[in-house]
Amino acid sequence: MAHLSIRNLSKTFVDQQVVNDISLEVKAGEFVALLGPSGSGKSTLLRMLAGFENPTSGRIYLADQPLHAEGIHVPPELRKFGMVFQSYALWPHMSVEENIGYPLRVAGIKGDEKRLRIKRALETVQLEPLAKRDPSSLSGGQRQRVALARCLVTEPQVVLLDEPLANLDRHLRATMEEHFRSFHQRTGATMIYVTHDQGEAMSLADTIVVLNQGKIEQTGSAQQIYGSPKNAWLAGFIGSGCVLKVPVVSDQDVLTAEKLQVLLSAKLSECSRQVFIRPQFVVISNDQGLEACVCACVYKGERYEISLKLLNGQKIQSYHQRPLNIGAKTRVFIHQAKLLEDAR
Amino acid sequence: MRSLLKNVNQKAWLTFFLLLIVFLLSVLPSIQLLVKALQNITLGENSTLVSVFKEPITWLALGHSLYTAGLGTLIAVLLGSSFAFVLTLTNIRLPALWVFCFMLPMMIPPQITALSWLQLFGPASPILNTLGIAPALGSPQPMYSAFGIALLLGIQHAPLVYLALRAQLICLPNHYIEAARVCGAQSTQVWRDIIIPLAWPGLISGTALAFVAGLGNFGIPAMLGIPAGYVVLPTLVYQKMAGFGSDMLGEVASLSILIALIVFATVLAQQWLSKRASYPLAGPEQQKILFSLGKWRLLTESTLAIILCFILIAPLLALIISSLVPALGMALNTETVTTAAYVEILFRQESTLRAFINSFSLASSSAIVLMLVSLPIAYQISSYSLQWRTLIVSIIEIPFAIPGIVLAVALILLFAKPIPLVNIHIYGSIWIIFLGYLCCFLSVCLKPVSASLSQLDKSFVEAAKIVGAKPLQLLRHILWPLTAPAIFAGGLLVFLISVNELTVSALLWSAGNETLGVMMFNLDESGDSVLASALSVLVVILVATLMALLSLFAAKLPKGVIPWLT
Repeated sequence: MAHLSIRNLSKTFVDQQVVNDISLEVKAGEFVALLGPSGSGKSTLLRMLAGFENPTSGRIYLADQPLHAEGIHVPPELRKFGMVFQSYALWPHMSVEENIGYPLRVAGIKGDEKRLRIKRALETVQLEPLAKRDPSSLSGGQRQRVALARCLVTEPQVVLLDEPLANLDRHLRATMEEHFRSFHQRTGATMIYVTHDQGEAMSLADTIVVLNQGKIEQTGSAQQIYGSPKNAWLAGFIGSGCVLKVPVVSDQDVLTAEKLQVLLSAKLSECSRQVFIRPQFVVISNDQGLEACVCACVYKGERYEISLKLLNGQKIQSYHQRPLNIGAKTRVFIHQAKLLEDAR
Repeated sequence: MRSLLKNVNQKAWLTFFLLLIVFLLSVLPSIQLLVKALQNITLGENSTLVSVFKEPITWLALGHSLYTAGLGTLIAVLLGSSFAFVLTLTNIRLPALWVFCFMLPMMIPPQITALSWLQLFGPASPILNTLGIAPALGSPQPMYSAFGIALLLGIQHAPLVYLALRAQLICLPNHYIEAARVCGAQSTQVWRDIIIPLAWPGLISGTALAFVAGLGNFGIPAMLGIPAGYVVLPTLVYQKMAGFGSDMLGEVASLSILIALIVFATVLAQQWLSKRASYPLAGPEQQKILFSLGKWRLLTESTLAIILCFILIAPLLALIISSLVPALGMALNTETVTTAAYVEILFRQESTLRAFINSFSLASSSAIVLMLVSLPIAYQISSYSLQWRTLIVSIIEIPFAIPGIVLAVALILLFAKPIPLVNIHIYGSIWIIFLGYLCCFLSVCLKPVSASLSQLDKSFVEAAKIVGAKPLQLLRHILWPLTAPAIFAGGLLVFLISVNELTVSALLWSAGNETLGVMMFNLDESGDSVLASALSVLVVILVATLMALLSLFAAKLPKGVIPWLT
């Protein structure tokens, strides 16, 4: 099975360590998203998995067979992976059909079987009528579906996706996400998906690996990453919310709602720990909670996003059904907060 | 695991193949020269190298070479780039015809260009005599000057600049221009801020090509410089060779080391400049840029026509006229016109027919061989780090850059004895000329291929690798179709340059193995300039026919393959 094992992988370009000692186990059939801002090393990590970049140190195993280890480097053409590129990488001198059939051609599959498999791949991405067209005459979404079909046609055990939706508009992304999801369900392939878009990562992946400056910040399900970010950087990177300072509490303390109101009204000079508060856990009401002053109010369609300032000067975000005047005095009640790792 | 080995083998074979070709075609002749130049360096002050460098004539010739090649490059860049910009990017009428005419000067051998210009302006000018306005006998010939040399070098090498620049320009996507216009840029600003900076790598490589070619040109300074006592490095080499001094080969080798150094510096400068200014462009499938010239179109067309008249029509006319008169210097009229020269060449002299066959088979076989090897070599080179790439490209550049005569000397030094192991004697056969052409023109074919390869989106290659394409499959299925235009352009360049080649074959030919260039030179030297003119008229007609034939096949070739069909 296609269990992928990454051990102490590092990559240094001339003067810069891009990937720094990353270890990661990807179970067979798992859908893993590598999520991070640009420059976090996620693409380099993916390109090392593909075999395009040589790691500076570390090892990669697929089902206990080394892909990269001391003295061994399996070149990309022998890894039997599939890959979808941000730029689609459809060869301009081949038709849609020829592009999709190319992996079969190099594998020596010919005749009826080749035709049948191309036809099935085209059906899966719903592009049968475009088989004879040139890639240059297709739209971005269609091109990416051709690229997906090209990847599908050999049923690879591991599929690498390098920001495949970055060049598509929002509406198309949702459709393409659906294509990726059904692709994953049908083939059971192990999928590694590089993205900087947390929405994509959360809606597609079983496991999200958040990368920052060449290191893994946190690994977990979408719920774990969103619900319990480990540190202030993660909290700021995933979803929206605010990091606020509170006085010393021990990691064992349960942060009840009552306790939170007390902690958050403390003077800043007494504060040394941080908590992370999502806007949906901050309720604006006139009769309970901390006093606050409205700083900003932005209409978001389904609700208003309100920024408020607490008496001790810290900012907090909330949602509200009605607009509030800027400068208005009100109260906020904080239901939940997550204690972040001690910064020291 | 076995497939892994096979794959590694393919890579290893490719590398071995590259190194072997580079070694045989580029390193070995250069080493031979270096060894010859440094043979007695231990003598210090009295060694060949030092004494050559102490001679004032060496420095005089160096100065002259730099001056004529520099000025010639300037003229070539002005001519080549204005034609490239106008013909590639504007709505001028009949662009294919213009390009066709503009490419012709490159195919006319340099010594014939020189001859035709001499006849155009000298007291014996058939045109001026026919018109009755020839200068008096004994008045100075204006072409016998540094400027005359530079002008002809410029005209001869302008198509090199044109081709290099055009290859870059057809890869410019229209939306870059549209984006600039949306930002409010006027046409002149679009040119200055977008087109010229993006065309810069092409312009630089064209400039370098023209300079290097000008530095190594022998035919033009030989015809125009020697009578005026104006010596440049290649003619100095030639004169030393003819002089048969005590250590002639050593001196010649020392001089060519000097030229190689200048060329090396040029290549370094070109790579440094284009490294700073190379951007990934999308490839020639986008919508073409087309500037409307509006009311300026007629004026532009007339200007081009006048330039072409001057650089092509007039000299060609002089050539044709001097091939139709009974003897050089006679005026052409209904009384004197004769086709005797053509009859002589085509039906009497066996050697001229043989020269045609030799030159055409040499040119086409070198073009085909070089087209076959240039893609694997370019691909292999592209995977190396910048330093190695620079080194290998410079090494490949050397045989093209050193004067053909020097390369010929190196080949003579190499093959005077039979090839070891196989014991085959190629000196005195046509194979040594063939080898000389391969050495000389590898870089000509490689340059456009390398340029086109470096412009390809990397993911095209990566996508092929990830689906399992082995190196040879990658070359055949993906890189070959995508770089075919550049490969064909390279092959065509090789053919056009080698079919009229004189300098390499001048020393390597033997009875029965004459090339067209040698034939023309011999006829001209022995005073038969009428026959020489007739022969070169035939060559021009043949090559023009060949170009026209290629145009007929254009529909079946990938877009952009044929330079004069935009």
